Parts: sequence; structure tokens; C-alpha cells
Amino acid sequence: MNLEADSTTSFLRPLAAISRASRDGTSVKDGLVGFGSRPSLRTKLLMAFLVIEVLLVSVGVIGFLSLREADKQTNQVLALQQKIEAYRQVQHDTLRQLHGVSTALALPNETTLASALRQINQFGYGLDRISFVEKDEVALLDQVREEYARFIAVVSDVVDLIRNGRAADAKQREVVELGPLADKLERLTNQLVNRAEADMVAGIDASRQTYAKSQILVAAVALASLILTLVLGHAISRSVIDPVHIIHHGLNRIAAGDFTQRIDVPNRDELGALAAHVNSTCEELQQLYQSLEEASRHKSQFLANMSHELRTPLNAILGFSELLLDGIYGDPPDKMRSPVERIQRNGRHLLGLINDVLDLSKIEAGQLRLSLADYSVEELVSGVYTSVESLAAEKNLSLRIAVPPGLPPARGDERRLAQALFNLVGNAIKFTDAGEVWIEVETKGDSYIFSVRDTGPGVDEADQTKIFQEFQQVDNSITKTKAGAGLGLAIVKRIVEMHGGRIWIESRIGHGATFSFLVPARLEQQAMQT
Amino acid sequence: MHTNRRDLLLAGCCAASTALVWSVASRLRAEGPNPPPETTTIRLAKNPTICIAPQYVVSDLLSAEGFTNVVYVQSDAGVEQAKAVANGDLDFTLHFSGPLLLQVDRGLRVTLLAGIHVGCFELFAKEGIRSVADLKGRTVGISALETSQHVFLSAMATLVGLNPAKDIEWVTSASVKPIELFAGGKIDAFLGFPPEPQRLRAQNIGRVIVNSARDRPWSQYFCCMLAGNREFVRKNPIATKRVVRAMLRATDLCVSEPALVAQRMVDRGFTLRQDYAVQTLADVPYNRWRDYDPEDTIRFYALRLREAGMVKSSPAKIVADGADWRFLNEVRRELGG
Repeated sequence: MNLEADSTTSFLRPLAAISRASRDGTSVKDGLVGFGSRPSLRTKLLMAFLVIEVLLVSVGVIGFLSLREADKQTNQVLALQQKIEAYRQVQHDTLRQLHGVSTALALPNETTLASALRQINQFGYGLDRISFVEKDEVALLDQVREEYARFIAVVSDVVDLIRNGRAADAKQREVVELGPLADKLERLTNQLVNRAEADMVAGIDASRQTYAKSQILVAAVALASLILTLVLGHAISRSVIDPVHIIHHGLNRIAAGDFTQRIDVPNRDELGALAAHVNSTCEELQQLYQSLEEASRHKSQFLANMSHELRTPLNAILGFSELLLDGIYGDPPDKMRSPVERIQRNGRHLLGLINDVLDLSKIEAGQLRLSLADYSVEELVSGVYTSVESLAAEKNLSLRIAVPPGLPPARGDERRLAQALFNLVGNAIKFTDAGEVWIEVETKGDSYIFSVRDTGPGVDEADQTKIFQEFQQVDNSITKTKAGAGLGLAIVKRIVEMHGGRIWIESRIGHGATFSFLVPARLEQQAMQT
Repeated sequence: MHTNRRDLLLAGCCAASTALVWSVASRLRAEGPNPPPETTTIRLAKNPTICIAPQYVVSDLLSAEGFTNVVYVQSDAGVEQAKAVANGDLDFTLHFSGPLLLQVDRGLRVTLLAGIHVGCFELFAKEGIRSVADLKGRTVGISALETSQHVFLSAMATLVGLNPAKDIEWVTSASVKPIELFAGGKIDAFLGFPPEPQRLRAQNIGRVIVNSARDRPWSQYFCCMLAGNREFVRKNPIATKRVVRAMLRATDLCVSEPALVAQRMVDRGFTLRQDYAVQTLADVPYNRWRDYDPEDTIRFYALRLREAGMVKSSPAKIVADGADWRFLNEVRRELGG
């Protein structure tokens, strides 16, 4: 009932912690501690993508504008080319007319005169075609029209003179008036052509400049986009990855049982809220852990006390039953001997169990301290051998020892190591019905490896991890027939770990088992209990 | 004292020219209360070329405009003269527009102010060469690269589709003048400017394949133009206008009094041969400055030189950077035309 009440309380605590945070002034929004005063992770990511989108759109828009400008420039250049063609046509027509007049003078007949007049009248069409001139060229074009009107008038006069048979006068007017007029017309049309060509050159230059500027602009924007994107990516990854690493390390520390340190994440987004949650959960776990430690200590204390209290009367029972069997109170009747022997056997078993529970409780309660001293490995193994030799003999098992000669003196708690080895050998003898049991010692660096190998039934791989836990036994028909509380291997493991070592098993069903533990050859200080 | 007919004629010419210049000067003084020029010193170029006759007879007119110190500085024709104007070693010069455009394109501080006369160059070639196109692969003598000869011939070659840098083999010699190389038959063609064409014609050397005074399109554009140091023009607008006016009046004198001008040039040591001077003044059309558009000349040559790869700027930029027609327009109104 208490446990249930505790767990209910612990489930409620995070909410309480959040409420406390809210009271302390930390904002709570959508269940996220600290969220609201600064943009959330989602907002940051959205903003980053928005910026990248804006940059992409900018590059696109700039490219589009550049293309439009280039298209505009191209159209301008094409228009200028058309203009130059039209001006050249006018220039060509001027020369052709002069040629026509000269021909008419050289061959003065009605055909050539009519041809000259036709050409003059058609010249007006060419001038009208140039209707797309720029404003600044209107004045020049008007001048061309004016000079041309004068030219037409003189040509008409010359034609009339020829028709009237005054060829000499016609020639005179051609030389004096028509020549200079044609020259001026040609010069004026040249001016138009030169202007249009100059405009075209300027247009080509402008187009090149626009292209160069566009290139630079697009390259600069693309480069800026690249840099900005990298900076944004770096900033966002830092703002996400770093806190995730910090939280990961913090969770590893918590998993290792260190509840003292807080996870410090500067973010005020979802990750900051997550870190705050982890911290508050860690605090709750720490309190829970302390409570559990306290409870465990009380339990161990209780068990130690109870074991002590149980052992005293049990020793009395064992003592008096032994006295009865020894005939101190007179020879017991045969009918009574068997029950007394059964009392003594079960009493010893019970005493063993109580001793194991007492040892385990002491270890868990932190009351067990190793007595470190120099010892001889050979003597330790020999002592264990002597203790179990009779048990092995009872089951007709071969018990063998393999210890390298001349091992240097080791340091540790000889009694507890002997207890651990005794437990392993005892188990091996207990579960082996036929065959052999070996006790072997080997050195590995600065450590000793003690191994107990048997030809028993072996341990299934699935059970190999749990057999070192308290009150855990392999659940099969063999173990059911053998007595045991499942504390022996747990005690061995604790003793080995107190020596800073480790224990493991290698076994296959039907092929026996080898239990090994490694301890430092010379232990100067008791290892911290876990 | 014995006087012959020639002396009498010379004395008469001197008297007439003095009277003419005095009358022009008197008219200048009578034109109204114009402010005096900002400076009274003007530096002009002097070189063997005599088509720039107005520059050699302008000193009296400049004196009448208020300039008390007219200095002629000996200078090479061509790019060096244009540089001298840009550097301020000369204040003004009459020069073929091509090399001036090169300097404007390069950012040198030269300002073109007016067109003075149409073509004076003549392209002489050996027998067998009938046109500019025939110059492909031939040797052409010039004083140096970027001289007036080089620039003008490059423009000509470009107009007929040649690449002047590749298609023509330019021959330069520091020791021997190009005209001597041509006369000696060592080069195929030579572009001469007065008095060189007059000499070659007199000696019946080569044949003229282009006469820029008469052949299109060259005859439709100015050859020599008046250019000034840009800083001088900016700082001295009154003086500049007076120089422009004096120079154009001197140009008119070349039309109205060619014999007198030729005599003055000989008298003042600008040339040795009066007959060549007279011939030059008769050949070169000095009467076009009122009719022709100097800006169109710049545009035309800028287009050709750009095609030749000798300038990089557009014609519009060269006009904007290197021309100022304010003074010409004012003077044109004053002098009529």
C-alpha cells in the first residue's frame, strides 16, 4: 500500500514541479517549460527555411530581371539595326537619284527624264518609312526633308530645261546646285547612320555591362545565399545538436545513478523545455532513489537483526539436539534418534540460509567491510578443498586442483574470497552427479582468475544472466530436487565486486559449467559498492 | 634705292595683310564690351605640317582678342602633341581628330572644341595598288604607331574590311622618314600630309589612291579639329571662346586670303616652300566648318577606331567626355553660318 501511494505521488510530482516553475515566473505554454519568450524550434526551422526560400526567390527574381533587361537591350539593338538599314536605304536612294539626273543629262530623252522624275517621287516613301526615329533625330530628319525638297525643285527645273532644249543651262544648274545639294543630303544621311551606329554601339556596351552586372549580382547573391544558408544551417544544427548531446550525456549520467548534476541547456525552445523536464524528473528520481536506499537499508537492517535473533535460538536447538544425539542426557531411544537427526539437519540448513541472508544484508546495508591482508592463493584454495573434499567423496566425484606453483602473496579479504570460492565449489558438487570438479587458478596481468569447472548439467544461456541476482535459480527439475535459496551466487558476485573484480559463467546445457571470477592480485583499497 | 616688281608685290601684300588683320582686329574691338580673357598667354603647337595654317596665322587675331603673349611650342605631330595638350604643355592645337580620340578614350584631359577643315591627307601607293583593300599584306610607312598616319590608315582599312593590326605591315623608322622610304621604293604605300603630298606630286612619285579632301566618305568629315587642355577650357571659358573665335576667323582667312596666309607662314618660319603652302591652301577645304557637324566626325572616327580595336569607349561616351561645342555654337552665331 505504501509503495502504491509512493508511486502515485511520484507520478504527480512532475506536474507539481511544473506548477512550481510557473509560480517561479518561468512561462509554461503548451506544456513546454520556458517556451514563449523566444522562438520555438519549429519557428526557428520555419524561419530558416523561409530565409532560404526568400534567397532562392531573390536569385530567381534577379535572374528574371536580368533576362528581361537583356531582352530589352537586344530589342533595342535590333530596332537600331532596322533604323540603320532604313537610313542606308535613304542614302542609297539619294545616290541613285543623282545618277538618274546625270543619266538624263547625258541621254536627254523622255524615257530617262520620266525615270528620273519617278525616282524622285518615290524617294518620299523612303523618308516616310523612317517614322520610328528618336526624338533627337527629328530635327536632322526635318533638315533632310527640307534639303530634299530643294533637291526635287532643282531636279524638276533641270528636267524642264532639258525638255525645253536648254541642255547647257541644265548642266550648269546640275553642277552648281544639284552637286552640292546631293553632297549635303548624303552628309545628312551619313549623320543619321552614324548616330544610329553610335547608339547601337552604346546599346551593345550597355548590354555587355548589364550582362556583367547581372553575372556579378547573381554570383554575389548566390554566394551570399550559400554563406547565409551554411551559417543558418550551422546555427540551427548547433542549437539542436548541442542540446541533444548535453541531454544525452545527462541521461547517461542519470542511467549510471548520478542524480546530482543538472542538465544545463541554454535553449528556450522545445529542447530547453525537454532539459527542464529531464532535470525535474532527475530530481524526482533522486528523491525516489534516496527513499529506496533508505528502505533498502531498513530492510537490510531488519534482516540482519532478524537473522541474529533467529540464529540465537536456532543455535540452541542445534546444540541441544546434538547433546541429545551424543547421549549427554542418556542414550536416546532408537525411535527418537531419527527425528532428532532430522531436526539437526534441517536446523543446519536453516542456519546456512540465515547466514547467507545476513551476509547479503550486511553487504547491501554497507555494513560489510573487507579485511584486507596478504594471503596465499595456494593456501586459500587448499582450505576450500579440505572443506569440500568430504562432500565430493560422498558423491563419488573427483575433485582436482590446478594452481601454478610459486605464486606471489596476494592481498585481499582471504576469508571472503574463500567463502566465494567455497560457494562456487559447493554449487558445483551439489549439481554434479557424476564426473569431476576442478578448481583452477591462473594469473592475468595483475589479477588472478579463480575458476570452478564441473561436469554437471550446465546452465541455459537464457538463465546465465539472472543466476547472479538474489533469490534467482535456474528453474528446472534438477534445481527443484536440490535445496537452496538462490543467494550463494549473489553473495559471490558482491564479494568479487567489493574486490573490484568481476564474475562470469561459460556453460552449455549438458556440457557442464565453468564459473570464473577475476580479482586484483593486490587490493589496496576496497572498491565502491554498486 | 632700286625696287623691282617682286619687292613691290611683297610690300603690297604685307600692307594688304596688315590692313586686313587690322580691320579684323578693329572689328573685334568694336564688337562690344566683352570681358577680357582670364589669361593673356596662349601656347600653341608648331610642327612641319602646314595644313594647320590657321594656327600659324592666328597670332595677330589672338592679340586682338586680348592675348598679349602667343607662344608657339615646337612639338611632334601625332600622339605626342595630343599628350602635350592633355598634360598642359600646350593650351590648344589643331590636330587630326583620330589621335585626339585615342587620348580621350584613355581618359586624358583633352577637349575638342571645333572642326577646322576637311581632309588634307593623301594616300600614295606604288603602281599596282589601286585601292585601300589592295594594301592587304603590303608595307606602309608611318612615323610611329598611333600617329595621325597610323590612326587614319587604320580607320580606312577597317572601313574596307581589313584588320589593320594583322593585314597591313607597318614600317616605322626612327632614322629615315616614311616619305623618304616611299620615295626610295622601300615601302608600298605612304600617307602624306602637307607639304608631303605636294612634294610627291611635284616629283611624280607614286599615285594617289585616296584623297581625303575629295574622296568619300573622308571628304564628308573634318580632318583637323581644334582641341584644348580640358583644365584650361574649364578655368578659362572667356579665353577659350576667344581662341575658338580667332582660330575660326583665321580659317576664314585661309579661304579668303590664301596667298597672304601662305606668305605669312613662310615669313614666320612655319614652312620653307611658299608654293607648297599656296598649293595646300588651295587643296584643303577650309570653308566647311560652318556646314559640317564636328560631333558627327567624332562619331564616325570613333566607330571606325572602335572597329579597329583602337578605342574601347562608345562614340557617345567619347563625345560626352571629350567634346564641348558651346563655344563653337556661340562663335558660329556671331560669325554667321
